[in-house]
Amino acid sequence: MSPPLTPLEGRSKSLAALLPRCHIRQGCDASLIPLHRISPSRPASSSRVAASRLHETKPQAMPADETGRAQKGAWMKSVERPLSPHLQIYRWQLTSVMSILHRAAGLALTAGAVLLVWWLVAAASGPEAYAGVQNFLGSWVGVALLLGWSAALFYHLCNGIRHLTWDTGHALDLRSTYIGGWVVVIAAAILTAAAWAAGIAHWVY
Amino acid sequence: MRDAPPSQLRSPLGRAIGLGSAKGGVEHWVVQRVTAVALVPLALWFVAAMIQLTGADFDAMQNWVGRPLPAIGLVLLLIATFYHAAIGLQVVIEDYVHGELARFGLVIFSRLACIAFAVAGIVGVLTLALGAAD
Repeated sequence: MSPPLTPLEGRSKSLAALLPRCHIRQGCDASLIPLHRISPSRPASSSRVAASRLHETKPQAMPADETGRAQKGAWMKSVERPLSPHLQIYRWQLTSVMSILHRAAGLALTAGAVLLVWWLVAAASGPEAYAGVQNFLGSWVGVALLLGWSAALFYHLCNGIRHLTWDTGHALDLRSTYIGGWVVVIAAAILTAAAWAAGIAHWVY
Repeated sequence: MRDAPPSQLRSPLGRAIGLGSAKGGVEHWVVQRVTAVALVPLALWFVAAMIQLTGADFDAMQNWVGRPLPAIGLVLLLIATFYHAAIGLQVVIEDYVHGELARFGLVIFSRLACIAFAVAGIVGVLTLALGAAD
């Protein structure tokens, strides 16, 4: 019997137990990797969905024995290479979600910067134009945009500091990336809530 | 010699320095970090300023931008933000847009848009700061 396909389908409680076996380059969209570039690391005899998906796109090109493991030989290196999971069968995890959100927040902040320019140009154009922007920002749509903008800003800011820390070569081990990740999530939430509490307090009093 | 692979046509010095025909490539990475570091205090200052301006009317906003330090801060914020955004957008476009023409066009468009918005914002700040508005 072939071993379970742990990184892809395992339901282990320990994320740390799963992670070291499936490294995806940070920022790499696995769905963009053509399937034929991924060498099957599991035999065709496996009934696992992931393995059969891979074998559909690349017919078994190497001989396998009855245990399903490919025979030793020239193919060995490619067979033993870790499998890059497809996003659809890849388990969500904090680090990859945060990486995706960092980009999404960056795009949102670009839109927010355009909003800032609109605000400044309107103010420079005179009281009427400024009142128009203020009315929009005071509407529910405007407040929702400002809320999203501020949350994206604090998240991108905190996670950016995490990235800058990595750039110095620190906190790159698995445990630190998770601790730092949760610190960023909590800090961004607190800062966003604090900024809005301060803004509302300033507005009311 | 005619059959030598291209890698062997490079001089030992060229290989040691490690620069390709582009003669660069690391600047984007460095500038992205430099603007990121600059944006940490600028963004925090900006949020604090916006909290102070909550509920402010036109005159209060005009007075605030009209002071030198807020005007300087806003101009620096606009420059750093749109520089950082231009690099970030380029990376995202290069990762996800695969058609060569579409990728090239989008990178150029995003770059020009960032320049345009930065200039517009700076002109807005200067107009308020130098008192040209009514």
